[in-house]
Amino acid sequence: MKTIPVYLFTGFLESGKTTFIQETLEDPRFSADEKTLLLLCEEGEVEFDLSKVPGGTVTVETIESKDELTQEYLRNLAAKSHADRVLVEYNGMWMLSDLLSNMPKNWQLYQNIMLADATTFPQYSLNMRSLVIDKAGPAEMIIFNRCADDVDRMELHRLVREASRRAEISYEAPDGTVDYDELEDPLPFDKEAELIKIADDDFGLWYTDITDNPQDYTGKRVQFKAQACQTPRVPKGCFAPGRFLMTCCVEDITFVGLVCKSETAASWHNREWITVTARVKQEYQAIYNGKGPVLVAESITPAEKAKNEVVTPY
Amino acid sequence: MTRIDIFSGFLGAGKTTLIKKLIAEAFTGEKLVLIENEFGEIGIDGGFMKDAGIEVTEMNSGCICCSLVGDFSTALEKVIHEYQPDRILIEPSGVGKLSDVIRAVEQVAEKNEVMLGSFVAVADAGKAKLYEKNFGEFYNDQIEHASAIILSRTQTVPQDKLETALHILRSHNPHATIITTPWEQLPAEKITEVMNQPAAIERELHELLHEAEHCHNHEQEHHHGHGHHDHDENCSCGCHDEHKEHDHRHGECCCDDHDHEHDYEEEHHHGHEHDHAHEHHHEHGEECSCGCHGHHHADDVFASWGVETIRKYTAEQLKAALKALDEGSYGTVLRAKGIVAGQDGNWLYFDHVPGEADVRTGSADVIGRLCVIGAELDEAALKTLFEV
Repeated sequence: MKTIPVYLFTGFLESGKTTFIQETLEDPRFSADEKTLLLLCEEGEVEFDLSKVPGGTVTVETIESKDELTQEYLRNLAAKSHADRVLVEYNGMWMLSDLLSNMPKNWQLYQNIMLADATTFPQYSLNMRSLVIDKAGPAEMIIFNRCADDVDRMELHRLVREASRRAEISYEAPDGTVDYDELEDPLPFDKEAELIKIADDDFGLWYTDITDNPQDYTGKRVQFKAQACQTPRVPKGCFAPGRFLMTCCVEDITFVGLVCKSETAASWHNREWITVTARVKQEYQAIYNGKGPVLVAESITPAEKAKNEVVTPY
Repeated sequence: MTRIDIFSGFLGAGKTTLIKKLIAEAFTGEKLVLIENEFGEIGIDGGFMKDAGIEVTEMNSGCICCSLVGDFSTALEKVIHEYQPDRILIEPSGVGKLSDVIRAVEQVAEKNEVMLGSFVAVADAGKAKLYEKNFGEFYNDQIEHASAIILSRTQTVPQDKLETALHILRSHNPHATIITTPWEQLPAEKITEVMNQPAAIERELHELLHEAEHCHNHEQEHHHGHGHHDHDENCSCGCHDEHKEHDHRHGECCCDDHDHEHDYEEEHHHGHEHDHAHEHHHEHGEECSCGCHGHHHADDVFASWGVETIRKYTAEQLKAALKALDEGSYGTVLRAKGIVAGQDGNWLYFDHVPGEADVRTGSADVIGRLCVIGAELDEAALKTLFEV
């Protein structure tokens, strides 16, 4: 079965998704002779003008409810339109997994761009942070539009970086000029050090980095403070040191940890505070659903509990 | 006793702007506490609140993924006991449900000496259609549970869009007072006056109570719940002038069923009009702003037609329309009355009895409204006549 590339455009209502997709479709380099299926998951103010698309065909389908996002339904839509590719204008209030976990097997996410209105993003972000983190986290690029001179770009930068260290950021002024965000965000720990020491409050940030960029840590030594967790989901001789992580608020606090091999693995009680010094390798683990960073302990010692028991991912 | 007012509204609707106006103009001299449940609003206004001597309590459970009710009741009780204010203003999160906040406040009211005030929904006039569909879970809940819906930015929205907004909001809430007049044209007291209509609030409480009881016999319960308001002096009927006039004559609210007898003793013709007018309002309830429910003894002879409108008129236009009412082609019109926005920025008050029409200017009101009372009214023709 041929692979169907998916171009995903996310962002809240009135964030400029339709305008951006329209401009993309009007680009002759993007629209030569492709058959495009355009899925509209949100009904905004701006409407598409497909007469301006230079080449190929565009079939528009409206998804009224996230319940319609099923493999079968989406496969049928693609078949009906003979689509070579799919563009999705996603609903700002739906979670990404509603789409990504229900895509037909041959659909492949090629591009994931988030649009945001610079004037409302800070307020939306503060009050709907779980939705922002859901969308901005995996986005490759975040485009802020309506970025007039009085917009605080540092604040936008910070809000994005709380969700994603990777995403490129660009700012589009009302006159159409675009600036790219080139601010560096150095990590608070040195990944090149002989022993990478993680401060107590930086565990969340480090956890995000090691899960996003596991290759950076292969063969390296790390030291961090954690709470022990015994779980049958890791093999014998292993346990899962980790921390309680809060992404948005108390409602979403979850324990995150890494598989750790140690002769003393079974001796640590649940939630007991420990300092772990270990070497990192990449290995298949069922709990990761694949390959991931596994710690091989060099030493584990009891520790004082951290001042802030709950960490954030930023 | 502490009075609690809730100001809900989606993110960016203008809740803070409204609260600031009311604090500065209407709540002066009162001991106030503002409970802030939306992130990112208060930073802007901290200085203002401090200058006004207002306590601000921020709640940390305002975001979309949090459950509100538990913490909220605790925080509210703490505020009541710690400050013993005259009034508590609650600004819930824009992405929260007003019904949840009401329920939490009610729980507190059961155990404390507090009075439930107004349940306001602030709504951006230009976004009703968009938000109804896309943020319905919160937005529609806020509109449906509000005792007063206050539209923001109405001056920047084209007439047809504003009409659509009014239609959408009314379809979600047939009984709340709606304010469509730009805020700067209204004294804050006017806003608090209409948002304080107690009947609508009581109704809200009954509705929530019935919701909680999973009452399916909605229609009946609904009317039942309203029954006792009819005897209330502060009737929520949108047609205020009629009330006042009526009150003068009968010393009672126009909605009182017991008026009936008095009416006959009085000048027969007039008494009839008023009495039946209100009865019939209910039969046409969809379009009328009158909140006085509970009259079931409908009269088949008289009818009323009432509509809220944002249309702007000239005095000449109104005079011509009122003159046309005498022609007979609209049914037998006994009385017409209304308050509407004038094209020159003034507001026009009109009064009509057969052969006699009076149009005068008056102070701005919260929304325009037209009422016609008579027999065999041709509603479609009336709509055309008044261009609504």
